[in-house]
This record gives sequence, structure tokens and C-alpha cells, in this order.
Amino acid sequence: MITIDSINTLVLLYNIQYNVVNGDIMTDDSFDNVILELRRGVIILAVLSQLYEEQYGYLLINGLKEAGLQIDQGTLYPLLRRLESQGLLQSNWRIESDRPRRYYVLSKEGNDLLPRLKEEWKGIVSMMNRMLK
Amino acid sequence: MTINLIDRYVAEVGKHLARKGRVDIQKEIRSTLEDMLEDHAKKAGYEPDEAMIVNLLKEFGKPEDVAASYLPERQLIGPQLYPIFSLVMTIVLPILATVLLITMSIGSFNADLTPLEVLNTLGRILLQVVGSVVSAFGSIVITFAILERIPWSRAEFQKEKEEESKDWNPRDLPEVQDVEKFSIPGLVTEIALTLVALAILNFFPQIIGFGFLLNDKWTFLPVLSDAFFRYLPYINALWSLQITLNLFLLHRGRWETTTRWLRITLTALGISLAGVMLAGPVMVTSIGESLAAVGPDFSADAASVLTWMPRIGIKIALVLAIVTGGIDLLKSLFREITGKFRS
Repeated sequence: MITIDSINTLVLLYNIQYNVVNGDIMTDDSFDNVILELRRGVIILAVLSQLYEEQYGYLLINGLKEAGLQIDQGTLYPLLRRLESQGLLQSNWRIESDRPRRYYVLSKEGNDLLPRLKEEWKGIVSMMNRMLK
Repeated sequence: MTINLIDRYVAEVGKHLARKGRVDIQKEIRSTLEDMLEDHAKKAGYEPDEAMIVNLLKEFGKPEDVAASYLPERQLIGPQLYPIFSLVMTIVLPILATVLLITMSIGSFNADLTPLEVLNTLGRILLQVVGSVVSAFGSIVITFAILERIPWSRAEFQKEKEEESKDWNPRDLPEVQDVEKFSIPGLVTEIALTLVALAILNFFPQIIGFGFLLNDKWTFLPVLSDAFFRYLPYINALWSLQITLNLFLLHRGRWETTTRWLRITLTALGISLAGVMLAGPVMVTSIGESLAAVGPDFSADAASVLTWMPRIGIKIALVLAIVTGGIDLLKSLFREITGKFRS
């Protein structure tokens, strides 16, 4: 049976082939794309790690920026909604300074999952360190 | 002015979002924009002005791009192509449906059909229209799904979008329109006028015609022919449904999905009926013959004018009903499809 995963794998292979054939594999664009993919992989963990305490979106964007991870609102807000729909976050609206703000915080499930994700991350980092030596 | 720009921006984003969760997302975008604006004003050291808002909205991104970022992760058509896909859908499908509905109605109905045959024909036409629309929908989806998976096409679209984003000006955002609300006095007037029209057509059809003085005597000639009265049951059914829908709307106080689709269906049926009446036999009696009967001295030219005038008038009224109904249908389908395809 053809699944979305198998289609995506084929597409990925086709994209790589296209880039190689067109000599794009090591261009700045390709480098940027790889960096983008790498950063995309860590965004979820970075966001979850900041939400032990309640935060609204814009505060979270600024907190991540200060920590060195620049993320635009077009990426963050849809991600927050997805994480909430997956049950990892919960949110509530509150009026502050005459303005409604939506506060996000880890749900119980998110709280249980985060330590395991951290362990997994540490394992990936040490594995990559060994591989890149 | 500045707040108005944010309102217009948030409303525009909403037009490209799925109905489910739309209000919540719009509320969050507004809240974030206000936070960002406050931040920008603090950094600039002065109160927000229009230029500051324009820059902020440009920084936030084009409304359709912002809305596209809320699409689910796994999808057939990604955020880069989705706005164009959506635009193509909203233009092609309603136009295709309307054109098919009108052309097939005109070719398939005539006044000699029995009510059962009319229903059969109507059902066959609707099935064919739905089939063609589904087929067109599938073809467009497949085309865009293929485009989505071709790197050069994605890159081309991305470049094009970046160019468009540079040129995008928040000052060009349309004014906010609340399409969910309607005018209550307008609706009440519509109900009253429809009731009056139904009463006249069913109980006093003889008062529709020409009155004039002939030999110092007031004479009145009704104009509606038997052909018109063959359509009366359909007119009654359609207008009664319209009144019921309007009463329900008054009760609910706003448009909802069911009422919107009912209105679309009634508009489509109205266009079909107008098409049938336009293509059918003449619905106005021959005034000339009637005049000859009541007053042999009546001028032949005047009789001719009195005969063709109502005939042309009815044709024009039917064409206008088809055109305005078609525009209304397109607008309603556009709004519905814009909302649904993003769910």
C-alpha cells in the first residue's frame, strides 16, 4: 500500500537527485535548507523546555530569541496549536493590560514527556559528538 | 486609522482560515500584533502611527501566508502553493457549476414537462453538475499535488511569492465586512414583499395588466397567459421556502452553515426556474387580440406596443434575475469554498 511516508521518501530522493543533477547540492541555498531542517528538528524541544511556566506567544518568542533561537510567529503559533492538539500543552485566555492574551503551559502529558525527550536529546548530542570527532 | 488597519489585517487572515478555530486564531494574531506594536513603540520612543503599523504588518507577513502556516503538517498541497491552489478553486469551481447549471437548464426544460419530469430533469442536471465539479476538483488537486512535489516548481512559486510579499502593501487591505450578519429590516421587507407577490399571483392575478380609458369607460386587460400559470406551483414552492428560510434566519439572528447552503440551493433553483421560464413559451397574452375584442377602434400600433412591451419586460426581468442570482450564487459559493477547503 502506498502511504504518505513512502511518497515523502520518494519525493525526498527525487529532490536530492534533482539537486545533485543540477549541481545545487553544496550551494548556499542547500546549506541554508539543511540548517533550516536541523533547526526545525529542535524547535519543538526548545519550545516545550520553556513552558514549565505559563507564557504567552510573544513573550515566548522573545525568551527564545534571548536564548539564541530566533523563531518567527508564523512558525511558533501554529506549532503551539499543534502541540496543544496533541495534548502536550494546555492554554487559557486571560485579560492583561486591557488585552486578552493566550497563555500556554505544559500539560500533565507534556510534563511527563519532556524529561524523556531531554534524555533522548542528550543521547543524540553525544552520538553526534562521537560521529563528528 | 491604525487600529482599523489591524482590524482589516485580522479580517483578511480570517478569510483564508478554516472556519474551525478561525475566531481563536484571529484573536491570538490580534493580541500578538498589539504586543509587537507596543514593543515597537517603546523602541521607537513615540506613540504608534500608521507607518509603524504598516511596517509591523509587513513584518508579520501577507495574510494568506500567515493563514497558510496554520495548515496541518502533513498535506497534499503545502503552504507555498496553497494560496494559489485556493484561489484557483474559488474561481474555477463556482464558475463551472454556474455555467453548467444555466446552460443545462436552458437546454433541458420546456413548459410541456410534467412536474415529475421536471423533478427528474432537475435531479439529473444536479447530479451531472456535482459530478463535473467533483471531477474538476480532483483534477486541480492532482495537478497541484504534482506541482508540490517538483522542486523547480516549488522554488519558482516561492520566488514569485517573495516578490509579491515585497510589493504587498497593508494599506490596500479591504475594509472589514461582517458577512455573518444581515439587515433585519431588509429581511422583514423581503418577507412582506414576497407574501404580497404570492397573494397577488395566486388570488388576484387578474390585477396584473393594463388599465386605460376607452370610450369614457375604464377598461382593464390582464396580461398573464396560461403558460405563466403552469410555472406558478414552482414559484409558490420556491418563494415559500425562501420565506421559511428568512423566518428561520430572523429567529437565529445570524447566518450559519446550514442556512448558507440552503440559500445557495434556493438561489440555484431560482436561477434554474428563471432559465426554464426564459426558454419556455410566451407568458403574456396577445394584448392586440384582447383590445380588438373590447375596442375595435383601438390603434393597431398601440396594440402592438402594448403586446411586446410586457413580453420584453418579462424577458429582461428574467435575465436580470439569472444574472443577479448568478452573481449572488458565485459570491456565496466563493465564501463557502474559501472556508471549507481550508479545514
